[in-house]
Amino acid sequence: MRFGLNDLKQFLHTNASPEDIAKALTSLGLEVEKITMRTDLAPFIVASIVSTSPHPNADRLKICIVDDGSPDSKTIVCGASNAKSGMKVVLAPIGTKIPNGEFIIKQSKIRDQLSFGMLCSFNELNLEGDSDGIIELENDAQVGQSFASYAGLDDAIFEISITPNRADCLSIMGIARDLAATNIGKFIHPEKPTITFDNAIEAAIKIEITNQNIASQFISIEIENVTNKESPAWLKNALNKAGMKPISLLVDIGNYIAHNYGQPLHIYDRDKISEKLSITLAQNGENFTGLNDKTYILSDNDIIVRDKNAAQCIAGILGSSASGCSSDTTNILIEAAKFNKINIAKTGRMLKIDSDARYKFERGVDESIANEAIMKAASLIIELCGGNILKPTLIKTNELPKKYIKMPADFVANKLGAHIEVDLITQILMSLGFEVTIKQNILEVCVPSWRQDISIAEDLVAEIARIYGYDKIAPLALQSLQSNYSYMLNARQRISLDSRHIMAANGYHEVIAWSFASSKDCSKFSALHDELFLQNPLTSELDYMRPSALVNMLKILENNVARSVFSMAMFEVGPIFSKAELEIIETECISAIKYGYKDYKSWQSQDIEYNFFDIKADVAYLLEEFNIDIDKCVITRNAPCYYHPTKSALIKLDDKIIGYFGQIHPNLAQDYNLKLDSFAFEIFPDNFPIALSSHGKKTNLSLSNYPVVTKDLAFILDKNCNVGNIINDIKLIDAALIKKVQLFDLYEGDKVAEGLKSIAFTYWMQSQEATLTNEQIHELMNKIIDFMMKQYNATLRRDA
Amino acid sequence: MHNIDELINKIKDTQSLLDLEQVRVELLGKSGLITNQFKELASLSGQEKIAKGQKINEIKTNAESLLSSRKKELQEIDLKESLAKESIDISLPHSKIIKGSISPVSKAIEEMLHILSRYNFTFSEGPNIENDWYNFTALNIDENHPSRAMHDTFYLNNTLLRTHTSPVQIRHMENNKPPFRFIAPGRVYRADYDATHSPMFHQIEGVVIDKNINFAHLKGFLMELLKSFFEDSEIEVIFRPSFFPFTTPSAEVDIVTKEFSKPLEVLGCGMIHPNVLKNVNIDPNEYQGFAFGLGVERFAMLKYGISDLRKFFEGDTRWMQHYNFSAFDLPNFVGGLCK
Repeated sequence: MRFGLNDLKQFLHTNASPEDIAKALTSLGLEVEKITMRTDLAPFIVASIVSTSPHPNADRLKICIVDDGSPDSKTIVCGASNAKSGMKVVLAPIGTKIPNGEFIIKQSKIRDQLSFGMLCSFNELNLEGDSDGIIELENDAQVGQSFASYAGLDDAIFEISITPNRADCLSIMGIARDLAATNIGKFIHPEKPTITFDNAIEAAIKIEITNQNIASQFISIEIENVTNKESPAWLKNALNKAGMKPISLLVDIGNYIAHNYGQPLHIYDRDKISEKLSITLAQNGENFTGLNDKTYILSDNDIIVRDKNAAQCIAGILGSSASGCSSDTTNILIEAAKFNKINIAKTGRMLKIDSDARYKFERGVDESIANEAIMKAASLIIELCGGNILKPTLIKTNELPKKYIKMPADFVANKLGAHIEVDLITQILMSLGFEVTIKQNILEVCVPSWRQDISIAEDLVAEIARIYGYDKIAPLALQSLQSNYSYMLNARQRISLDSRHIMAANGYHEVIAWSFASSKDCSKFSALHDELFLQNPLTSELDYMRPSALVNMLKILENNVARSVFSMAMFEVGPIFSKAELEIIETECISAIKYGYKDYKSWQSQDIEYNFFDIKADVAYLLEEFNIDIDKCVITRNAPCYYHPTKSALIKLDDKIIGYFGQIHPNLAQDYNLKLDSFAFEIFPDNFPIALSSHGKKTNLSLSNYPVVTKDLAFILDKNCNVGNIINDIKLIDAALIKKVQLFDLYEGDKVAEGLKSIAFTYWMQSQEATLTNEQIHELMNKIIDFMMKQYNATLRRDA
Repeated sequence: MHNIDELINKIKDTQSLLDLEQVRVELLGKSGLITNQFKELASLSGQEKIAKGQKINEIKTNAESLLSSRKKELQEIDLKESLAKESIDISLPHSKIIKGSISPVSKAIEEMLHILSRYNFTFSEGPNIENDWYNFTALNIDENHPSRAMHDTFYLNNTLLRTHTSPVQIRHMENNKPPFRFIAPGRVYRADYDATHSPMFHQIEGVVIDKNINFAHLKGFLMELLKSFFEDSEIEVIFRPSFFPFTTPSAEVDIVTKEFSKPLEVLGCGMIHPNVLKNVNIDPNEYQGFAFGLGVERFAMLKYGISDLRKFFEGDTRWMQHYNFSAFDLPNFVGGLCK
C-alpha cells in the first residue's frame, strides 16, 4: 500500500512529521517499509525553451534561450537532441545539486559559450522515464513553478505492508481512520457528494444477480456523453504516488476512488454492453479475453458479469477487452459491488490474475462504503469529463448483520497480563469505530462494518493491545518448572545431536543440503514414485524428494572437486524419503562421504588414497559411540545399487538395518566427474537399539594381574572365507582366555594355490586366575587349529 | 708404582672409550700393572703383605673409580655428539590432524536448545512432507485465506512440504495433554529463491500453554531468549503488532543492538488463537498460551556475522572452513554458548 502524505491529509487532520506518522503506523501493526521524500528535487523549476540555435563550435550542442519565470531569460547550452523551442522543461539553476552524480551546477563555459544552468533528463533526477533526451513536460506546467510540486514529488511517499487481516487498510481512508485512534490526528470523513437524480432518466442497462451467494450488493450508475481524455496533473500525481500508472481519465478516476475509499470500481463502455448485465457464474470452458489481451478459460466457480451475449467482466478481478473504456468512449456504466470473497480468491488463484480489485475483494471490502465511493466517482467524472447522469440501480441480495461480541471486563487482563481500566478499554474500542455498551462488567461490542476480521473477544484484545501499546505491557518472567530430571532430548534425539560432534571430531565437515534434488539424479539411487515429485519445483534440478542424502552430497563433492579440492570429508544429518506400500516414509539419516587422499604430496610419505577400510573405521567409530559393536552386527553384501557391488556392505542388528557403507559405484562417480575413489556411509539412528541412559553408571571391572601371552598362527584356506567371521569365531573358542585376535598378514598369490589365501593372526591370551602354563597355551592353540580345520577347512601353515 | 701413578693420571686425559679401555687393561687387565702388583703379594708375608695389600687395594679402588667416572664422561660426550648428528629442521611442516566442523545452523540450534532447556521445554518433531490440515487448516488458515498465497508452498501429489514448523504444534498437542512447553526445530520449505530467500531453511517453533500464560509472559520470555542467545543484555527488544492466523494478538519482534542500530525483524509470535486450541480439542476457556517461530539461519547470520544466506547450503569447503564451528565448541552454561 502506497500513498503520499498530502493524500492522507484529505482524511486526517494532522501536523505530525512524516517520521512520527511512520512510527505511529508501525506501532499500529501497519509496518512502514519505506518513506521516500525527494527533498533533493526542491531546487528544480519548470521552464520553457524560448528559442534554440546551433552551437558555433559543436555540432551536437544547442544554445537554448530559456524562460524560467524570472525577468531575464537564461542562456543554457544543451546537448539533448529533443530540445526545441516552445518545449516545457525542467531547469536546474546554478547552485543545484544533481541527484544522479551528486555534482553541483555552476556557471560554465562550454566550448566558449556561457551556460547558466542545466536542462535535465529523468535519469539525472533519479526518476523513471525515457532518458533519451531531456524531460518534456505537459503544457499545463507553469513556468517558474517548482518542478517537484508540479510532478507531485514534493510529498512524503509511504510504502506500508498490510497484513492479510487488515482489508480496511487497503485504502487511504482506512489508514487515516486507524491513525486517528492513536491521537496523532483527527479523522476527516470527506463530504459526501450531493447528486440529484430528480431529472435523471431511467438507467438503460438492467441489472440482475442470478445467485444471491455470489454477490451481496451491486450498484451501477450510467453517465452519458462523457469525454475520456488524459488526466490532469494532480490526478496523475496521486496515482503515481499510489504506485499506479495513469491510463485515461475515466480509468484513473476509478482507480483513484478505489485507492481512497477501498471500494473497487469497474467502468464499462456502456455502448459495448447489450441490454443487461447479469451477475452469474461462468460456464465451464467459457472463454474470456481480458483488458490485458490475455484469454482465459473460465469454470463454474468464476463469478462473471455477463451481458446478453458474453462475459464482460470476471467479477471483481478483470474487465473484458470488449467493454473496456477507450479514448472514444462516450457513455459509461460504473459498477460498485461486493462479490463473494471465496469465489474471488479461488478464481484469482486458478486463473493466476493479480489485480488490485482481486486483492481488495478477497480480503473483504466494506460494503457500507460502496454507495459513497460510486457517488464520489460519478461526481468527479461529471466534473472532469462532463456528461449527464442516469438513475442509479442498487441491488442488495442480503444485508450484512451487525456483529456483536461479548467480553468480560477482566478478559483483557487475563490475556495480556496487564491491567487496563475499563474506561480506557472502552475509549480505545470507540476510537476504532466499535460501539461499546457495558452491562454487569461485560462489554458488549458492536464491530464496525469495515472490520470483518474481528470475530471473537481475543480479536478485541488484540485491538486494545495495539492501541494501548505493546511497549506499555510490562514483561513477566516465565518461571521454570519443577524439574523431574527428565531432559529436553530423548535418547534418539540425542543421537542426532551427538553424531554431529562425533563426525566433526573425526574429520568430517557438516553440510546442509536441500531435501530435494533432481529426479534425474535421484533415479540413479532409487525407483521414482509420483508421490515424491514436487508439483511446482523451482527448477528441474530440485524436483524430487531425495531418496538418499548422497544425491546432494555427490553434487557438492563434484563442485568442490571442480575447484581443485583433492580430498574432502563431509557429513549431513537429515531426512531422506521413500515410499512404502501406501505411505511416504521419512527417515533420518547420518550420511557421509570421504574422497581423495588421506595423505597427499607430503614430504614425509607417499600419496595415500582413502580406501574401503577407512570408511569402515569411521562407521565403527560412530557406532561404537552409541554402544554398537560393528563386529557384533551382521554384515552382508546387500548395500544399495549406488554402492560398488563388491566393495560395500549392509549392517544389520536385531534384524534392523543400521546402515550401509562402501565405495560409491564407479559409474556414479564418473557421472559426477570424480577421478579418485569416493567412499560413503549412511546410518539410520531410528534403528539403533533403544538404550536408556545409565546416568554414567559403569559395569564392574576386574583386572587380571597375570602375564599376557602372545602366539602367532597362520592358516591357508579358501579365499572366499570372511576373515571377520573367523576372528569372531576364534574369540568364542575360549572367550575367557582369548583377549584379542589380530590379523597381521593376508596373502593371496603365487605362493599359495589358486583359490586359496593365507591369513596370520596374533592371539593375546590371559587368565584371570593364574599365569597360563605351556600346557594350557598348547591346548588352546590345538583347539584353534582343530576348529579352523573343521569349520573352515583350513590348514596350518607350518613355516609361519 | 711410578708407572701406575702415571697411568692413573692418564685416565682423565683419555679422549675416547677405546683409549680408556686400553688404560684399564694396562692397569687392571690380566697382566695389568695393578694386577701384577697383586700377583707379587704372593711372595710376601706377614705385616708387609698386609700393608702392601692394603695399599694396592686403595690404588685399585681409586683407579676403578676414576675409570668409571671418566667412562661416564666419555659416554656423555659420545651421546651428545651422536644426538647432535640427529639434528632436524624443527621448522619443517608438521603432520596435519584432519579436523571436521559443525554447521552454523546446527550450532545455532544447539545454543537455542541450551537456553530453552532452562525453561523445561521438550523437543518435538514432525514430518517434512505434511498435509493441508496440519500445515494450514488446523492452524486457522483456511483454504481461501490470503495468507496461504504468501506461503509459496511446494506441493507434492496430495501433500505439501511444510512451510513452517507450526504443524508440529498441532501434532504435539493432538497426542499430549496440556500444560505444554515444547519446541520443534526443523527444516521448512518455501518456493522462493533469491539473495534473501532460500527454498529450504530452518525454523524453531516454541509453544507454552497453561492456565494462566499471558502476553506479558510472552514478552518476558522472548526478551530473555533473545538476550541469552545473543549473549548481550543491552539488546533492545521491540514488539510490534502483526498478524498470523494462528495467533491473536500477534507480534513481530525486532531487535536493536550496538552493532545494528536499525531495528531488525527476528521472529514472529503471539497468543495462540482459540480456534487452534479447539482444533486439537483443548478448551480455550481453560488453557491459553503463546507460540513463537524463528528462522535459524537469520539468527545464525546475525550472531556469527554471516552475510550470504545461499552459502549455507552449498557445501563449499572454503566457506565451511571459515564459518563452520569446531566439534568441541559446544555450548555450555559454565563457559558460555560459544568460544
